[in-house]
Amino acid sequence: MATYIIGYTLIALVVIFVIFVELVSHKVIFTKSPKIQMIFGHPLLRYSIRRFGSAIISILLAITATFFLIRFKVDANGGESFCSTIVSTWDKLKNQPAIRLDLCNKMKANLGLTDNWFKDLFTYFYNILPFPKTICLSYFDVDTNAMSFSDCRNTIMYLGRAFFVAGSNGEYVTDLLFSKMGISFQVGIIGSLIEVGLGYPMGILMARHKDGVFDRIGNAYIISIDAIPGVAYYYIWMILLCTLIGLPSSYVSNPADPMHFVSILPAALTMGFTGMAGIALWVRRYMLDEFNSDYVKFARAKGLSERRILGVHVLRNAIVPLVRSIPAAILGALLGTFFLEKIYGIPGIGILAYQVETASKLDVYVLQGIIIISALISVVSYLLGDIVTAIIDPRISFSDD
Amino acid sequence: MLETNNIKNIDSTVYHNVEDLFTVVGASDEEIEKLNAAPYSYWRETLKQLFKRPLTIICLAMIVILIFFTIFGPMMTNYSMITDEAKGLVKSEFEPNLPWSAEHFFGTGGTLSNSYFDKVDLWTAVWVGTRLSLLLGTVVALIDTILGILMGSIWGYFRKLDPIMIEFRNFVNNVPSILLYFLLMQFLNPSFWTIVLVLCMFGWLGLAGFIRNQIIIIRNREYNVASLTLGSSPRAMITHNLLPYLVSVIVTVVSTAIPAAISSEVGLAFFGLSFSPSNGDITLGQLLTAVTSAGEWIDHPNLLVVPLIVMVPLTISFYIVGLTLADATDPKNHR
Repeated sequence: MATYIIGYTLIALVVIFVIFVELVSHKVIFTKSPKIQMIFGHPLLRYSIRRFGSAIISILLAITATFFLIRFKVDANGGESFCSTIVSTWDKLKNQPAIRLDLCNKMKANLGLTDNWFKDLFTYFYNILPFPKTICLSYFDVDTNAMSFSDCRNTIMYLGRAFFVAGSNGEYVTDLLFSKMGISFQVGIIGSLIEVGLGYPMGILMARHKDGVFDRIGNAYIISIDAIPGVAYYYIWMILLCTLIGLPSSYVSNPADPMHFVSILPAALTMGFTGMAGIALWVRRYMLDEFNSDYVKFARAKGLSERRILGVHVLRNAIVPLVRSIPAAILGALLGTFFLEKIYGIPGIGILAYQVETASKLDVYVLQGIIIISALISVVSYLLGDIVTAIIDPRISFSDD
Repeated sequence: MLETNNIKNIDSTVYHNVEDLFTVVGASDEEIEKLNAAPYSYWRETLKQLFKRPLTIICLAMIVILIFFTIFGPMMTNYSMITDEAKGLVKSEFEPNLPWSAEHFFGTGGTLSNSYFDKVDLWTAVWVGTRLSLLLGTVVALIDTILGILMGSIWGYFRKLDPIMIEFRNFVNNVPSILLYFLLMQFLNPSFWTIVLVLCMFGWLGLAGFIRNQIIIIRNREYNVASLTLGSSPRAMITHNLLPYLVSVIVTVVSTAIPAAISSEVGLAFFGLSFSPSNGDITLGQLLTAVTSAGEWIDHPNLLVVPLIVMVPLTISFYIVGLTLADATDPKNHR
């Protein structure tokens, strides 16, 4: 009941807010109140709402396309190859095709897969659209020929349930993804912090001493990271960090263990050292562009110290295009990096994706769930990036005229 | 005093009869055809710039050496990597984890990983793998480049296409590439051309988007507006006005396409989406995945070092040659 009340209240609030903003910005209501006009009629607010609307369309497109790709796989060869993986007695029942087909259909019913793709797609959209609903599932175990479990849950967003991925038995995909994202985030956020914390100073130093020793070393580092395949590069860092320095090379899952944090470090450091090259490259490039601009020459001619020119004038201007990527770095940390998680055995989203890919039974909803979450994160971080850029840069305006 | 002197000189020059300043030499048939400036050829100048830096020459030499070994390396040992009954071949297997020796230049593979590369001669495996990786990288880079330039110029020139293409790009960017590859590989049996297809399916988008941005920037310059006013066809506009202007920018992106394609294959192999080696399709990515999957390289580091010492110089050499080529093709750097 609580889910329903909170859910519908939230939806109502959002709808009222959007309508209110649209009405105010089109000067229908509150035309005489400059304060309300300034806050709710702000072009940035309207721009964000519009961008969010188009973002939802991109996400729905991504879901639809991947949904059909997955269903192609499920129903390939008249569904036989998929049935042979989900029904464990498929090969034994070779002489009774009717029985094994019946078992397969029961199993498919458990998974919520019917023959009508479009009906399934709309069911899926109904399930994932964020409004309160009650979802029930009865799971019929074909091996024991008995009802395995039958339960309901009040939820706002239902991504389906996981049946085959290691250790899951009808677990909710939302729960699974959230627990995995927590683990990925621990590693990802430390990695992002290292990335930003080292990348910016490196770029600034390289730009300040252009063509100097530091610039050359930095450029060589950036080129090597761009050129060497990621996997090879991660293993080179693994040799340095784990074999030479002695950091643990596998993840300690118990959070109470003091080694837990240390075991995160190699992956986070590798992520940081890799990512900082990309940041440094762009920081350097933007700073050099600014160094050649007229206002810097003018500031120099006026006799400002190099330190002041760099810190107050150049850095502020050069940082504007770079701020855009910060929300992506923070939100992207939720997904972790697929390769590093696999190398260090960190059971985050990356390992989950790998398990789905290599499992003999395709866990349709987990795969679809990972795709939705990554699309959501990517779209939202682009959106936030634009908004943050607009906030810190007064030159950008979103008004139509 | 000096100033008055100067003024006098000027006066004498100004009021002088001009014909007195020159003497008629007469026409010379030989001199008529001569140009004082040295003849300028774009591609010759590009080549000259390319071979200016010793680092580039070293990298080019490295590429030549590596290509030499991909062809002749396996012949030096003559161990078979596959069992091919038609040719009377049996896959050569040796004692596992042998160190470097005259018989096995890079040692032999271990057994813990339980993969295709158990007990094989690593020298042969590495060069056979490099050959396919290089071939795949070159083919994918070529197709990506052609598709990227074609689609990018169409996308940039025709404004009405923009929303559709941007939506497509959003889709590809929103879904993690490794999951897209996974979904595509579900319908395809891994073979050379299907892997090329999967890698090219989205690989051209990066170059296309880049060219689209560049074309939008220069599309409304005066010379293009003038050309349009004079009635140039879209094809002429793209091939004569826009693309030549972008040569060096395009080369910058294309130059990194070969190492990028090699890297993508390594990524595919790492998630088990690449070739199946039992057909003899061995790549560097599969070798790296096989030796790292069981952690056996911690006790026998040469298992990991062997693919790395080929892969790292190969990709870096291509990358550096590409970057220098990009600089060399930029006419601003000529002379």
